[in-house]
Amino acid sequence: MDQHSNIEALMRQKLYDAEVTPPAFVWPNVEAALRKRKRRIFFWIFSGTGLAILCTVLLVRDGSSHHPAPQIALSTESQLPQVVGASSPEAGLNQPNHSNAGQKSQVVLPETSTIQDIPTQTTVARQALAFSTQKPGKAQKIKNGTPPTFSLDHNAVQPTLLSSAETGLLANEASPTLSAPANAPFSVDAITEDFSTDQTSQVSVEKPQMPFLPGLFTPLYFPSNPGDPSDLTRKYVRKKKEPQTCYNFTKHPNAWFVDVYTGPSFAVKALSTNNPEYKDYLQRRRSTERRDWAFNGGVRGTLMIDGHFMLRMGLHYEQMTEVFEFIDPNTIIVDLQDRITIVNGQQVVVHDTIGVRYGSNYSKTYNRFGMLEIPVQAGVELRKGRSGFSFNAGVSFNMFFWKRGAILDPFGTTRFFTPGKMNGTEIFQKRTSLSAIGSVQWFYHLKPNLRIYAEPYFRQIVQPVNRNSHPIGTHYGVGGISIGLTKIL
Amino acid sequence: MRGSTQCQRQLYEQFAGKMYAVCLRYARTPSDAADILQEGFVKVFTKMGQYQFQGSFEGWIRRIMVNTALRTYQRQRFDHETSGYETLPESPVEADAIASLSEAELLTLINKLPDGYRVVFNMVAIEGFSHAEVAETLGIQESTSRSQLTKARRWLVEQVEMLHKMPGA
Repeated sequence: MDQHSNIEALMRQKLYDAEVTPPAFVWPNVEAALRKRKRRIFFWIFSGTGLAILCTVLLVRDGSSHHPAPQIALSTESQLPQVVGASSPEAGLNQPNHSNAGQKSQVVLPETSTIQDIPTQTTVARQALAFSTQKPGKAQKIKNGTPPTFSLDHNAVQPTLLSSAETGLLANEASPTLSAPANAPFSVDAITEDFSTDQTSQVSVEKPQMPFLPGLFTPLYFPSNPGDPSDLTRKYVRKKKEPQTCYNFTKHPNAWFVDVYTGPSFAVKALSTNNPEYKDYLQRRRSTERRDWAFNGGVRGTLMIDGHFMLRMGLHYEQMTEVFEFIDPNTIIVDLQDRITIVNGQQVVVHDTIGVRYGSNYSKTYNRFGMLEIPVQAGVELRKGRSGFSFNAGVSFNMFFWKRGAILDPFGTTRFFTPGKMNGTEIFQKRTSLSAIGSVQWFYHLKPNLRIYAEPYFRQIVQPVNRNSHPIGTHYGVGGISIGLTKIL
Repeated sequence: MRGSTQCQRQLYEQFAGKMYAVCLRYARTPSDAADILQEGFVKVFTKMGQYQFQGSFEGWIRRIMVNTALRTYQRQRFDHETSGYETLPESPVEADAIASLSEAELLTLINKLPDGYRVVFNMVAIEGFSHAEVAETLGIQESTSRSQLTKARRWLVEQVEMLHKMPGA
């Protein structure tokens, strides 16, 4: 035991801190590997950032293109004052919406409304009511001359939210009214000027002649009894707006879609040979290669025609993965030693077999094949409510096919087909030509212009992927599911 | 350090010699050793932030190299390995015989050990791992580890004897 310990101690002493100059090519290889890794990290960072920006832009655009029409309603009766405009009470009245300049708003008030009935939600309604006459009555058209039209210039009239104090003050005051000669058309400019300068100025009207106001205030109703205290007790609630959840294909039957997707996929391989000599080899290939999960991803543009028919084209990446696992039960390794000795002043090389090892050699490799493709598909879409299905079929043109891994050669030896690998072999073609694709998509509208979808698909590579010189024909099909977002432009 | 190529190069030059010797002990061939050294240094530079300043920096790098070498060994290993050396007789060897061998000769001898023996011998005899640690790392029984160490030792002794008896040695 002591002897063993001495041997080990001697070995450790000599070898633990031993130094051997490494080959010169190692450092450049380390540098290259680090650069490659850095590039990969940058690629993912840029891809992630780009995707995030794209999603944000899509969502923001989607949100800004659909301003719901603000509606304010009384909870009682059917005499509901409504303010219908291009801006919401929150966004438009608290903060002037200059983007809506020039747009017209409409105010609809019930016959029984008074200035007190108009809550703090909108001064536009108050202003509308300020044009009422002291004598309530139904609105009529001006009898002589062209009916005047009102338009509210949002740049001139900056709606502000009135505080409860202001509301109370107005409620106690006499209702501001518009003074205008009977049958005289109103001047829009004058009115807007009044709004912008003095919103509580009192105006008197000798004769109630409330015209039909097609632009801003159509039609305008007045309370039957402005002094009725029950008006003050009315509560105002926001009328629940029916959300618009689906794109209006009836109105826009032709539209462009953009899809971004990714998902898992699974390759199905068929090996075959017509040569009976390679039947055993075929069996060995089948027993050493098995399927594994991979992934797909891509972008796709779609032109919707006539509300139901679609033409689709995009850029698709498909990766296939297999596991190659092989145990060679009869591995023999012969250890040789070349000994150089000097005999009579001459170098003599003696080849010596110093050992033979028998064992089983286990090797496992993940074989990966990547395909970059341009799919061209036609489809039909069926919808009901927010969701629906589309059925698609087409072909895909392969642009690029990379591969790496190992297979068993006909002699029972593991051979790598990775390009550039030492002692490698070329088995597969550089491209995989055409694929036939079929898919079914289920989608759901998150917003009118935004869908989420899941699309199971299957693509069959039409030609065998192996070279003609290889005795085993290899056909691939890929099944998978793409999960993605669709933006309707 | 993680980003500066110049610093990385300095670090590489400082430790490459020692680490290459470690890799040579574990690898089958110098070419495999160079691959392990390369992979190990890439790991060192990318995982630099994980160094906790506990223990020596050289020890941390050495551990990475050993782990990388073990992974390579596990990827390429022979299962159920048997060897023609098992029947070699045990013979005593004088310590002087080993002391007279150079580092390069000892490395060459270790390289000639069968994979399983070489890994266990390196881990136990040179690196100082216990048999329990070896068993856990390699996924083998402790008894297997002991047995392989014994066989490796016996084989090395035999080789040292042969070298000692060689003419001109």
